[in-house]
Amino acid sequence: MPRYVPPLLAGVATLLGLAGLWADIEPLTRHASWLVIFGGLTLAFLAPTAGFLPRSTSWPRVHREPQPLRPSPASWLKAPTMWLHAFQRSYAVEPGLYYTGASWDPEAPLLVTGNYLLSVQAVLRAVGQRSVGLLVVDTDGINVWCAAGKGRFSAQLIMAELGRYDEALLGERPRLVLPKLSLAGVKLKTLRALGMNPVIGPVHARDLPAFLDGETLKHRRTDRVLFGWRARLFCWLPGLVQYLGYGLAALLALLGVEALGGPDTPLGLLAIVAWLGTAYPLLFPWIPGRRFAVKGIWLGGATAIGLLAGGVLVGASVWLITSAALFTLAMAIFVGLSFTGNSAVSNYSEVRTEIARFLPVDVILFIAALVTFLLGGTAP
Amino acid sequence: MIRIDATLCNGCGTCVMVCPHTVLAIEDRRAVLVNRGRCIECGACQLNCAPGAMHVTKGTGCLVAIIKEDILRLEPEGCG
Repeated sequence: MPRYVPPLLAGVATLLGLAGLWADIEPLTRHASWLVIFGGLTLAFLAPTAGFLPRSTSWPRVHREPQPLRPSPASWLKAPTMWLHAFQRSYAVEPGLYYTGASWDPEAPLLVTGNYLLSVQAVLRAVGQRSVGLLVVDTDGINVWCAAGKGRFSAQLIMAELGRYDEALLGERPRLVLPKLSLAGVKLKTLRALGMNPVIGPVHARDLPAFLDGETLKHRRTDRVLFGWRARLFCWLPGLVQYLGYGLAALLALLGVEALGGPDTPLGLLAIVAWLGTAYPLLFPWIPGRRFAVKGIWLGGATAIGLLAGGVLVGASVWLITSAALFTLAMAIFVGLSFTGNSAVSNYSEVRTEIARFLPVDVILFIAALVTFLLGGTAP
Repeated sequence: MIRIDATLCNGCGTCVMVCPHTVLAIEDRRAVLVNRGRCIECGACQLNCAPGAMHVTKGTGCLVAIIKEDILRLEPEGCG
């Protein structure tokens, strides 16, 4: 989604809400409170990313000497913003050579990472008080693994970054500690041919101290990505924020439909989105099915049955509860398919097959939910 | 899909060390698939296999990436 869309939607929602508060304009006045609150909160949430580094910006690269890397308190404050905006590139670290400790030490291990702020901070947290060198590669503010997969973390980019420093700083055949996840993009043979001594570092930055204390070949062979609760928790909130954004866009569209004489805007839609966006990542291993969309069908199906039962109990309109059930199923499949991008265990060929099979079904379900909702509004 | 050309493999073990999901192992001086189900097709083994024995349908198992790159044919850009 283009970066200007979320603030634009939030601004429109807030303005519509304010208009509804100041003047008696139905249905804006009836929905003024949530429009102002939700739109305002979204704007406040987006404000810290105003300093976003656009893609076209090239770093000045004025330094010819390694710089000390001592993050300011403001940089640590950026971390939560980065987390919430994990699918955007809110902040990035200037590429180049850095060091921890008192001064540049050519004998200290030289760690390589991307210029995704959270990657650099993870490395810094892991090394603590140790004296290390850090080569920050310009990955366009993207994390190591994603950048490597897309050719934005490569041997050529590493050499381009090193190329602007005096060779004497690095010594003979400098030993580069590469994150294991960079190797989908970094060709070790190329680095060796260019006079480097690349070594495969750990998958996770938190394992750097043990690695630096004396890594073993056995460790390098068994070190792998795990998609445990911590990783899923990390993915949960940014995903939820993204889904709620889509929910807000849908509500604004439905508000327009209501203004034209359609049914009341269903605010409960946001609750369904929030539930699915939370339950899917957190319950991921325990939801039946191996494929992401199938897991979505299970979660969405169970939720839809609950909604149908609840709707019947409170005597809600058949059209409304049918529409809610269809929307729930559609949204759950969408959340499942979207989660392929967050997950560390999604196989490319399998996801392609899933998309071909389930995305058309999902679109049909969304359309069916909308049509049922609109028919319910016109039914006697 | 991942495939190993056993006739080209020299058993150096680089693929084993670069794989982030411990999909491969060396048995009888040849690379073998020991956890095929874990492979995400990142392509690290193929990129770093000097004799060219590894064959991978490399790609990103991500809804947005597949829609952008495989369906809309836009330039890959990764994400944050």
